[in-house]
Amino acid sequence: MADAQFGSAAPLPQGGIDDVELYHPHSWLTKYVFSQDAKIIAIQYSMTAMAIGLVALVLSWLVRLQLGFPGLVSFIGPKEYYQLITMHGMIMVIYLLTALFLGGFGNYLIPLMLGARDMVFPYVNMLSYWIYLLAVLVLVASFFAPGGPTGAGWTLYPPQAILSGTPGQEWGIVLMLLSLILFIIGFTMGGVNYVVTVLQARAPGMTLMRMPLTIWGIFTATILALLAFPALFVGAVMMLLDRLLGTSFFMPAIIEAGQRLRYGGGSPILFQHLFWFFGHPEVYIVALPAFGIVSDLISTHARKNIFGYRMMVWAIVAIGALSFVVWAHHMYVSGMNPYFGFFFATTTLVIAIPTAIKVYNWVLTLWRGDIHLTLPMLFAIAFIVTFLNGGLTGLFLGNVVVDVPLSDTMFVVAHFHMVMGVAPILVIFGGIYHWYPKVTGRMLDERLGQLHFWATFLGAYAIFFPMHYLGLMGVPRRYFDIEGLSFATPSVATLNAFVSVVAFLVGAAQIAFLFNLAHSLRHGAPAGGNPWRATTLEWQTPQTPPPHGNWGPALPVVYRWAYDYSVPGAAQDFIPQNQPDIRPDRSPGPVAAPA
Amino acid sequence: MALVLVLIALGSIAFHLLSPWWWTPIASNWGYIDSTLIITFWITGFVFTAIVLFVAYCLVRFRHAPGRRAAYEPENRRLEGWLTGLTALGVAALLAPGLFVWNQFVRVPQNASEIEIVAQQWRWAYRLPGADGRLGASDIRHVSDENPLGLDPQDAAARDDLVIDADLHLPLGRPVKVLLRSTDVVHNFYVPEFRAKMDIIPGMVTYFWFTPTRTGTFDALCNEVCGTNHYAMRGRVVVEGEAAYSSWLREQTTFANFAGGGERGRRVARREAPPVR
Amino acid sequence: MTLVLAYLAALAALSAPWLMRQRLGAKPWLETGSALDLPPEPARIPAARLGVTVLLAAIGLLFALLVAAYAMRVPRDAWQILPDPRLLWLTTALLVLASFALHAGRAAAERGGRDALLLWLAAAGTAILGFLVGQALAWRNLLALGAGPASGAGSAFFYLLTALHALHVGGGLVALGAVARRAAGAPGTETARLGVALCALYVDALLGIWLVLFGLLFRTPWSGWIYALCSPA
Repeated sequence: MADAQFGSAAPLPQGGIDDVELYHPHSWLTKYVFSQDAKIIAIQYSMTAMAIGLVALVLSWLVRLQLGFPGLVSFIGPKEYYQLITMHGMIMVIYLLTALFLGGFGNYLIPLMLGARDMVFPYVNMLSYWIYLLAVLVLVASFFAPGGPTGAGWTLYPPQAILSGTPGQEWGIVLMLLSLILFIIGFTMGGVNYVVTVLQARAPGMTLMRMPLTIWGIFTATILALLAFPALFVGAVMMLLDRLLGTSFFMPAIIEAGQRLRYGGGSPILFQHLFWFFGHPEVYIVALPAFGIVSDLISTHARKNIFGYRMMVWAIVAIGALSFVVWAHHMYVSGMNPYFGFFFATTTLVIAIPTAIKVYNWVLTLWRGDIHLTLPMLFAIAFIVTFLNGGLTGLFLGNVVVDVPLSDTMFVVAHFHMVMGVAPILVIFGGIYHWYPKVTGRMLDERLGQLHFWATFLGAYAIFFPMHYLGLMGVPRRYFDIEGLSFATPSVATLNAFVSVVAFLVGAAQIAFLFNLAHSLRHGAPAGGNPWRATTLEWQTPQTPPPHGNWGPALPVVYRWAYDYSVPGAAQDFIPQNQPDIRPDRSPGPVAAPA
Repeated sequence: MALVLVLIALGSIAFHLLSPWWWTPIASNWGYIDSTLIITFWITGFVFTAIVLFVAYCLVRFRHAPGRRAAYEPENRRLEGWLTGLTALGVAALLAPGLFVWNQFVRVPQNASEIEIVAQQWRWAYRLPGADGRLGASDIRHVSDENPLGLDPQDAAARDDLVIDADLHLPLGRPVKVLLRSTDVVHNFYVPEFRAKMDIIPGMVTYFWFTPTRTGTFDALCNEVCGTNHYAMRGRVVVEGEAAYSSWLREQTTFANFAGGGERGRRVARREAPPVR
Repeated sequence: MTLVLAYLAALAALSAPWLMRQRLGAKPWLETGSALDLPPEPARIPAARLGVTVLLAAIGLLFALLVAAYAMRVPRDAWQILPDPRLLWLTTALLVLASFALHAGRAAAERGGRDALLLWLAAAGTAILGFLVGQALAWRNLLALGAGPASGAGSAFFYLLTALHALHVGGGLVALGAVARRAAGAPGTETARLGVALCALYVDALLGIWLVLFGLLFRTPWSGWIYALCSPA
């Protein structure tokens, strides 16, 4: 295709965008606000996500206040309670976790780890952030709308979500659906960018099988998201029409407060299918980047290559593919054809196999390693423990018949908080402690970090482990008050109070983290370019923090995979990916390792 | 850190064994569900403890010390193959009993008697078949103050159905197929002691079955979020012996009497009016 | 949802050959050295084309989900009962015309003819605009017949599907405008040619989606196919 006469479009050098094509900011505004630099966008995404996440944290405090000490405060009634849990859940899953992993970590790490100058479509990338911000603002607006935000539960099941028996029916649900639609549009822009960047903008020599697992995780998660979010989009648009135009996509004939409503013929289960067709891949949209990041953290800080890299890659791809055929395990007791249960229980439990392989390989990476208990490593180990716990309780819920008594009880709440809340958030923290030196050029404070780590890890475990047993008793989720249930003994109230107190402490520990982030920006110890002595490309940038364009005059060339740690015979215990082989006679291989 | 991990593993087991929070004593035939759950606890508990303790061991044994260097081991196909195989085996050991029990769960026995539970925000109502032993037709079109369950007044099979507005009574040891209907939003009828439950979807009839195996009075709760008063949507199920059940049954009102405008019918109908929001 | 899974399976099948070429079985720790001794990557397609393709895959899934929702929601006896849509045949023709014009424009761009290219782009833009106006008129006709969105599942889906499709077409029109402006400014460049080619690809895809939707909502010669595709759902 490249024709000599069109000189301005000479073939791109392998590895991405030519320097001349890179967008150049001309003012402070375009450099730091309307920036098209993926690193700035990453920071914008992260700060917005953390800000809205802080709101979600406060909401969870209020939820725990009611559960632990019912009736203590008068401003939380049932209406407010349902609004609190709904907004907490939605913010955490979509606006914090998804945005932070893909928009935050994805934007920062994809170009840097792959040796690209930037994302391939910087302008679209910028739009992606601003639409995300708009989605967040619309969501926040619902707090101030008449009637307050929606209280339909984060699953937003119709018909309940848009009927007057649910709080926020007037404005809350409309704003929520609009916000979701905006989020999906914004995300799709970013997602196309991530996929194409991974596919096309890799530095010379960076084959797919040389990519760090972080990139594999983010890449696969992005593909999942591009294919899963349309289902939520469809569901949201249809529900919006049901609410605003009186269509009956999801609305059967309904009698509300003695009045027959205009709806008829719709299928509430259709929404559940659409929602979970999005909802289950969503779990992996959050989990796969966490898997990837934690693999790199463990490998780097144990000074050992990730064990079974190929298996890890295959497992990520397998989990991604399988995640599209398990959605109805959220619907075992939904009234769908019960024979589906056989199929979905099988697929769900099969997905446990690649997931288990990942856990084994993390653990086996520690085996015979040289373990530095740095903060990122601590968080990574804490991730293994909490993820293992949450993953195993998933085997209860995925096994259709065991799910019957447990579904919609506190067991489910404990399970998904452990596996999808605590575990990925621990990875986020670990990732921040790991990459903060690259982003800012300074280390985070170790003592504050230790405090933050122990409070968060032990606290979170103490909150969610006992909670499973409440569910086992039959304590239902989404109950404003369990007063009067015959099986809810006084000890249940004691346990609830205990959990609440721990939750307040864990929440408070996050203040130490935020303070650390702000304080270390100025006062942290200078980090240098590669404080962890890591192999991946982002640590090999000529300058730290990396400037716009990342690599100075020449793109890095990749000579090896991302995990050359403690290679026998090498002088150092790590060889950066862009280092040419200095020992041509080297005969590498597993057997070459002296025991 | 290693010490903490050991404490977590042992503490979790201790908590599991010693804590006072455990399932309610079962009152239905679904002891199989409990057994499957116990199998799951054994397998997952073993895996959890083993892996956490192994990590703790690694942390002690391979902690960084000056001069220490990690081994170089990109992969070990045999080990990975073994672990994959073992995991698959464990998963199969979980799945097989699960599917076996599920197969029973979805097959309603021939001799199960049908009852109907009708949910609306935020209360329960029940219907039992009349003398003809079957439930008559119903449709949301027929719902009115006089006819809160929307039974078809033209259907003879419906006219003798018993409409129950208070606690539901069930006879001990007789399988029941519970038909579930909702007139407004999604609900779920859950009695923890029975283990079984199912969502109630407006616009369709869902079902599940069980056999009560223990007399007593049990709390029923709505277990699918259904609006502001979801948490207050409670009911009660009384399981009793044949004699007590029959005498209770004789006191119930048929739909014909209920809707026919008798004083009792009106009184009940007024109580059926949904709570003021 | 069978349809959706089939769509995903098709996507997987399409990307499988590419994935196979990535040597996922390689042992990267044994392959130290520059990439030069690795097999060369197959010819790179332009990033923009890949981006549009990925976007279209997601858009395709969006509409596959909508079709699946239609199959689950609309009772069989209520399929394709909307009034005869003669106007929609006209709009379909306009969209075909737009696709044709864009392909002609692409050929013109290959030859480097600026005026011919702009002419074809203008023709395509007009045809797309005509399509959108026609769809709006179809809405008006149906509303005048009293078949508003709340009147039944079939008509509700008609408004939903046509509106979402029209939004995507409208997005394409905006992109076409940008491409035309760039082509007018710098005709004959690689960027201009690529832009026109991508517009053609995008409109082709939306034309394909429209044909499916048309056949789903109304009685067309190819409705039987779509009916068969959806029936296991």
